[in-house]
Amino acid sequence: MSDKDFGGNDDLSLPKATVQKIINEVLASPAIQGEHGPTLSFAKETRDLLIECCVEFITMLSSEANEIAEKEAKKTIACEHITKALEELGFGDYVPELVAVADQFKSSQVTRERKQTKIEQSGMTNEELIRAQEELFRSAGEKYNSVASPGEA
Amino acid sequence: MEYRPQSPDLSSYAPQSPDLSALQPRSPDPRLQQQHYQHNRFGGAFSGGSGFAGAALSYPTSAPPPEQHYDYNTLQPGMASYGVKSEADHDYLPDAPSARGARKGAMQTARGSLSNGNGQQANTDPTLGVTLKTSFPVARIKRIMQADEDIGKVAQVTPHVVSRALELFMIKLISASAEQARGNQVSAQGGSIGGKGPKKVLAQHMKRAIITNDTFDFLTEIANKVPDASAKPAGKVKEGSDSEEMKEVKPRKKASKKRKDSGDDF
Repeated sequence: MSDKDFGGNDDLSLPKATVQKIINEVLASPAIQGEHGPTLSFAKETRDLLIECCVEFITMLSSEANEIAEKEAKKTIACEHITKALEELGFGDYVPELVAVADQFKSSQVTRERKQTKIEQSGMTNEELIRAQEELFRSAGEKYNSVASPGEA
Repeated sequence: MEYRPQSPDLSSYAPQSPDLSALQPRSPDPRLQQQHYQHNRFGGAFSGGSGFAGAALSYPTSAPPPEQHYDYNTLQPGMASYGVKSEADHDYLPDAPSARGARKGAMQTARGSLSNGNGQQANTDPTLGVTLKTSFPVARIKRIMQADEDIGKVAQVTPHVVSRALELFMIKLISASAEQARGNQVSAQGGSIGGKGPKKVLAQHMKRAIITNDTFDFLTEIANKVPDASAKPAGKVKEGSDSEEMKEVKPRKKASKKRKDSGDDF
């Protein structure tokens, strides 16, 4: 959508559709819905208000984290700065969850790098790699086919 | 030579997903599991050998690929199909307390944290028992962050973390607003006005939620832009307005309210 917008506009906001989906998920969730009867819905104005609050949240959080980073003489806002900022702002209960998210990301980064290198390091050309792959699939396929009915192409 | 392509009979093909439902670190190769996760979440370049077919650079055209790995892909944002109650967490990191927040939500729900209305757990569980399938575009969040000129560089991981924090924040704000709308909060509302029909959560309710809750103090300014319910109806109904101007809520204004609401329904 407007994420691809190169207009350099400062109308930065969150995608309405995404926000609406989240609203629906929350309102419909058993934990929130409970036995309270029909599912609530958000008025349009309420959704827009929510978006404004979200942007404010991001801005405030960034600003706070930025200050913390500067105090540590760091130029880059890191995860630790965010978590500290959250604690300062009274959202400390979010921290354990976020630390887990950060760890996930970091380990996925490492894995991705490792996979890249593995390909390069295999020392085989693309053709050889493709052939090796086909061989693997063929042998894997044979295993299936021997279990299944024989006689296919 | 008869060319008779047949789909292989897969009825006897019954691959077992690695048994992660017990959430024990029994996966054959934790790193392999991670590949799935990483692929799903961050769109990694590799489709990930699921351990059945070994290294896979592309999908085979001849032998039946172990397509069950598509099940794992349900974890991509917006694509998901696993429900809140699912305990069979197709998770790849049984060790980790949580992968995506969504999975953590599922795990917590599985542990029976909130769904039964245990009020106590609400204080410790930031997700309030809600599992989200949708998440925000990370790039957009980074742009919003950097709209502030004071903000310099941002680590790669940071927008992901902020995204998740934002989700948690939204859950909190949405549910607080919903409570206000239902009228059976701990707040000054008192009696349960609980509607007979589908009720709408109005800006009024969110405003009250913001005022009531300390952690939402930073939103007070925004909330104050919402006029109180005592504002005169005045009959000026702006169709689909984006401002937070509160139209009159009173039920007797059904006619204009309908008009106003026509743009509201989703």
